[in-house]
Amino acid sequence: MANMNLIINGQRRNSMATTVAQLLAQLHIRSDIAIVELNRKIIPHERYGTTSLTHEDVLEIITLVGGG
Amino acid sequence: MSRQNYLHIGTQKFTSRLILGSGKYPSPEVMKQAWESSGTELITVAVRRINLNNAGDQGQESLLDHIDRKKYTLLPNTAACYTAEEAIRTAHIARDAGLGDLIKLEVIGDTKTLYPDPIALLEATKVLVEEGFTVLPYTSDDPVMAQKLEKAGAHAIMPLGAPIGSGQGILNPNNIRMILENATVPVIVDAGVGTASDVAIAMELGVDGVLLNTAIALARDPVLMATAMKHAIIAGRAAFLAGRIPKKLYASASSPSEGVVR
Repeated sequence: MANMNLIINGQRRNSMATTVAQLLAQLHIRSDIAIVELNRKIIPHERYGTTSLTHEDVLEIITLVGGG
Repeated sequence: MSRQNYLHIGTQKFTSRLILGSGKYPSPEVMKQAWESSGTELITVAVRRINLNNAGDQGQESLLDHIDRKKYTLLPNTAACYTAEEAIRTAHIARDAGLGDLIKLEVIGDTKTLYPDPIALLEATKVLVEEGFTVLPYTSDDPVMAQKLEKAGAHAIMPLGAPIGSGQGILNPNNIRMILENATVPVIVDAGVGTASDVAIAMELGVDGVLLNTAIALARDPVLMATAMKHAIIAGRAAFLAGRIPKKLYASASSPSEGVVR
């Protein structure tokens, strides 16, 4: 599969990943703690493996952290 | 209405009137013990991008590994959002991610004081209320602002006691009282408390709850301070309900003045 240009957390990146799950694995991010927004839509966890990525997709990979 | 045994927020009710943050603790273990000692049931958390540059390194421990979702309700916040748009977006992410529609709404106006931007806050409150969120806005102690927020549909008013993390306590109890007089939704002091007496003072004024983070997380002994805070909430609330004596200029003896053996 061709290399894709993605925008992840505001940065341009290349990726060979074709699904959200693959992308998280490539980035060494635990899928259980990741909240993924793809083109402004939150993807449910159970669909990480079946949600495909396309060229120029915009992703936010988010989690909950400590705060007041 | 929340002048009774529970703290009512939206459709939820809590036995503890103490809401805690999850930031700045020396370790996850201390954090969990502090939460346990405090008796809290509601914990606020921040929503942030994962740092992609060090994701592989840290063994990827996450805050979520340390929160027992059966014991604690999560209250996502929009901390460090400086525009209504950022705050609204963050709220959407939290809700779409399955965290429910409770949101601690912060729209900050100034980096040094971390005071809220009242105009953007009011705008964001209106939008989020319209979208069905249960909105808890962090605001200044301005009574007019509090009324406007309530009129805009806010489900609680959360006036600061002093700047976030400053530990100064309730700097303007008179304003908190004025807010209480007009509010028909819960009033929760959020920010600036430093120690147990600050929390007790807030509760004695008649507020419905207190939200704090730094006062426990950065205390020398956070777990012990959490215990102190738990008692302060209970003591302050009971004192409020008990009806205190008025302050008088002159003395009024407690023992009879007659029959002294002279």
